[in-house]
Amino acid sequence: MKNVLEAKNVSMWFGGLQALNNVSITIKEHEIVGLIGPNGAGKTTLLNCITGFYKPLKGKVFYKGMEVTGLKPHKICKMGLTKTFQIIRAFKSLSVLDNVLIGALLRSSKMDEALSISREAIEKVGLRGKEEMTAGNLTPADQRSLELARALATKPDVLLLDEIAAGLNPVEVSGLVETLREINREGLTLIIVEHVMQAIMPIAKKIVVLHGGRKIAEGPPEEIKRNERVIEAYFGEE
Amino acid sequence: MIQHLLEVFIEGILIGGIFALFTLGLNMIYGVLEIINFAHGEFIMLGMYIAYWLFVLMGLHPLLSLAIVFPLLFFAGAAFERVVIEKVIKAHIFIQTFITFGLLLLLQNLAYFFWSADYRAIRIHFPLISIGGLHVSTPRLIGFIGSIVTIIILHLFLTKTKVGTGIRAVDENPVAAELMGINVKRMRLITFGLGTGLAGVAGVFISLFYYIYPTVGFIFILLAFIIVVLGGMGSFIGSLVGGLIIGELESLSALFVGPQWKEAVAMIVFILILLFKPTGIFGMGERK
Amino acid sequence: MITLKKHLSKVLIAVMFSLIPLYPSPYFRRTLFLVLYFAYLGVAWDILGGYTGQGSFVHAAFVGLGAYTSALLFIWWRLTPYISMFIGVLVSVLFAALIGYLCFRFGLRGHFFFLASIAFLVAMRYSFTNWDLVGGATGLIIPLESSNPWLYMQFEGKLPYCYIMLVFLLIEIYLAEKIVKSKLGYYFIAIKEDELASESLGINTLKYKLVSLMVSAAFTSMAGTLYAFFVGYIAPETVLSDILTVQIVIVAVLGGAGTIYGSLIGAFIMVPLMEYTRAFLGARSGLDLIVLGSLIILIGVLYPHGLIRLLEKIYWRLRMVKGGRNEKCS
Repeated sequence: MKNVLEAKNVSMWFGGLQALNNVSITIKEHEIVGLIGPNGAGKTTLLNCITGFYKPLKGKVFYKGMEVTGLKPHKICKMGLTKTFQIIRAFKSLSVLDNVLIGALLRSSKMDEALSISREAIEKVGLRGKEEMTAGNLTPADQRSLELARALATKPDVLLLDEIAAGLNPVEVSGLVETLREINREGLTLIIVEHVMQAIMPIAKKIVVLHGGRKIAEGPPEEIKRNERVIEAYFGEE
Repeated sequence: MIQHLLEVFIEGILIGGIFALFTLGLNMIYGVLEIINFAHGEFIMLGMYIAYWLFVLMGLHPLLSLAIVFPLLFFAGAAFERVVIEKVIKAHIFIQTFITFGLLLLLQNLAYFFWSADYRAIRIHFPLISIGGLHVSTPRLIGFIGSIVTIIILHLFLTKTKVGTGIRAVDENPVAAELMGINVKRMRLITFGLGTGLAGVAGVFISLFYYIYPTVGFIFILLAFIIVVLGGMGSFIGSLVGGLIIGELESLSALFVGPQWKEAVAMIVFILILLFKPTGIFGMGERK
Repeated sequence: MITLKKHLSKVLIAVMFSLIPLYPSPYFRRTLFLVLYFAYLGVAWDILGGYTGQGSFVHAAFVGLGAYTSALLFIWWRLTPYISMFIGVLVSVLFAALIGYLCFRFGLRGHFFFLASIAFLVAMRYSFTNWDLVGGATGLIIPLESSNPWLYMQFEGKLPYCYIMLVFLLIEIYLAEKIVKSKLGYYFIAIKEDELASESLGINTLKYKLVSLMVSAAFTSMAGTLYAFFVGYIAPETVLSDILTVQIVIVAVLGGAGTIYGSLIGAFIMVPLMEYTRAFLGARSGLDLIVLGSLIILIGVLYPHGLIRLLEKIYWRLRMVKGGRNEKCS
């Protein structure tokens, strides 16, 4: 399979603090990759460097062979690469349908076309019947799904999900995992950031572990579970 | 020529000290309440008028009127905070800003209604001082010294007293301050009162050498904005240094570009600062 | 909500049409013109402030640019305002692009954008006050040219101006509605709601904020031209004043920002209130502005979302009462 996304030696500082230190990752098409690590490991920073919310101070990011380092997020999104946020950022005072419609308008300026893209995305994440509800009144789990639908409506090829299961109960998590599997089956490449290892292990084919801004391990879940450095990083902290 | 230039330079420093005083009031309010008080200049104006009327009607020396101006404007500001600002403390910043603009219009035109648009001045004779052959405007010197003394008192209040520490804590982090048991609401009240009180004090000093009219506050609020942004929103030392810099800019640009252009020059400098260094020299920038 | 807005607009428009010819007082017509003028300005502001969430205090500058451009072109070459207003629009849009690019490019938000927008307005006013070409502090008088009233937009009475302003307002509302319901409108609202999320959905926030500002400026500028020919005299103190900006904002916010029709309500309340205080209590007293100031504070505290929301609430309550009765009947 082809490489769809590649980050090479990415480094990032905030003030004097180094958030990422020479991190390189390679993502293949149609993969589900888990990006894990303890708090402050640099996971969100890495996502932001890839999707253009930060411009990495060193290193390069390639998407489908093109360099996208330092491009604005909206440009990168248009190329088919986008992310959801760690804290819920649904447009809270708009309806569910309008939220998703705003995403869909990227691919079609025609209202009726955009609407049908939106309905499809809403259906996919299981929010059917809630189209007219105001996003702010949804449960946190539904708001997460809404963000997912909104991102799907931009028709991405690669989707980066930042702690999408945060704050959800186990039933909601398993529902979400099922949705993600389904989306992946349709051809999307997923990079899922998780703080909790257990949530990601069942679906990810590959796990990348960050710790203190460095990549400390990479491989299939079973290997990662036995990796000494990973165990140390997790249990040394807690 | 050199002598004249030096005199202008000294004048800039003197006036800059007074600028720093009223800017500190504005900046404290911003730091604690995260509101830009557009009506700040109107409290300066009120301070000027109170000093004027106490002088004209009762013969009270303007410097003595400080004892009335500060408490009066402290309570006026605190009352406005409790009755109006507190109600919109969670509203969108645009509504907050807009309300203070309403207060600006209200106070400005109340002054206009009661006291007309006439230009007034406090006519007191001050002896001319000259230092090493340089003539220095005595009222400005008094205003400068008064401002510096007030700023020092303010600094002592903020660092040495319990309330002052509380204010600084809220300024630093309102959530943490709340958790530590500080009455944040009360700190907001006191800070707003202090801010408007300081504006009044600055007004009294300015009234020693400046015309008094209803819209006079607008000039000062614009200057205060420039200084706050230049020095950094929420920075005490920034307001101080910024005040001196803008004081200099004002008097030097009046000399070199012509007095009618000095406001336009100030505005252009302001826009440049906003664009290139919106966090100011000492600032931490917009929070949230 | 949508049905209410539709009814409301129809009622208001019908009322306005029937009102204009009814009352032959020039003073009344002047007030009516100002109501329409401010409603128009409020709608224009709303596109940027209400929909895109970029509360600006610069808008009087666009009124001024429109007014000055048309006045100068008329004084120099007797160019008809129907053409010069588009040149004014061009000037305003260029100015909007300049300040918008500077402010948004450097990421000025919230308080900093307010301050920058007011600084641009004040800088422009000071410059015009000192600029002899545009008449300095005394401003410009539009010379009388009674040969062809329609061509030069110079009429004896105020009535034709009311009709012209009304037509402009209706066209503006029509266009604003179109914009709001299009992709552009959705993107504006997305930016107001959350800029980072908008970027992640492929919205070029810088570009769309600029577009919003430029559209808003273009509409605003036309009103400047109309106003200049309505009063026949413009000066920095009238068309570039901070009070004008505040009036524009209050019209939009009073009625309800982000609603288009809110501005109609806002103008219908603010203008008569100010005009009649001035008429009954004297122009030189400042009482009209005292009223305005108090109004701002009251509305800000009591109805920060505008009066249109209040009307909507009343409307729904009435409907519910009615619905209840119907149920009982059946």
